[in-house]
Amino acid sequence: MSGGVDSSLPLALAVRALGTEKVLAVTAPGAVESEDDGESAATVARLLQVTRRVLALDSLEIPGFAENTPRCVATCAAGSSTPPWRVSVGGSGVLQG
Amino acid sequence: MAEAGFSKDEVREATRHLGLPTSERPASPCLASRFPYGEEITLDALRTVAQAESLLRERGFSILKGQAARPSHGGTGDGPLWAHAQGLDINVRCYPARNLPGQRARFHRRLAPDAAVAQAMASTISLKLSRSFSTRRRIQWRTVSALPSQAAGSYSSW
Repeated sequence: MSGGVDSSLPLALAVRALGTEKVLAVTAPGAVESEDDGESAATVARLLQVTRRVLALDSLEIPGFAENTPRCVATCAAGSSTPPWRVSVGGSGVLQG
Repeated sequence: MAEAGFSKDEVREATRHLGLPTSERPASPCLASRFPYGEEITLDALRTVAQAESLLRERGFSILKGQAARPSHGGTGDGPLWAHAQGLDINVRCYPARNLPGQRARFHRRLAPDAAVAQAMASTISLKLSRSFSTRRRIQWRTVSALPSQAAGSYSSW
């Protein structure tokens, strides 16, 4: 979750559906995020009483990201790239806002 | 949420209904979206964009429109990002310094005749940015041009 409106809604819905104990909020801040996003993510997670993990993910290390091609960006925007952090956090499903 | 059939307005409405503090939060798309396709994204460049936008926010601008022109949103793929205040839209985009003169020339050629105020304001911001980032930090990226709001539509795919 970035801390924006799009990712806080699925988080809130997941909490409603599953309960706070079965939901983990994951934030991967990096240079591509605006600076106040992290603060907002923390606020939302606190409000929903969800545990939040902050991962060190460097978008620039995602293959093709730095080249900035339309294909890369479309993939990124559609959220269909393989999230490298899924391996780190486990879980049976990932919601991306 | 888009896959689940939610429009952006519905996402906002739902977050409002749920009492989330993000409901009125402006769109904050990935900073990489400020770069024309094909321009390499580097850490330095991303930091410059973040600082440039902080500077605009300090001057009362808020980032309003994000990726409307991206291919994933049905646009041309060369999508600008807009900041807005006091009746002006500021187009925040990043070009390598070597390309800037050409881009500026193109911008001025297409500037609407009634845009003198916008241009003056843009020049001020541009000057401040280029001083901040070119001389002090020696970063080779700059942003910024400005348009009056009413002319923004004709520049949306620029």
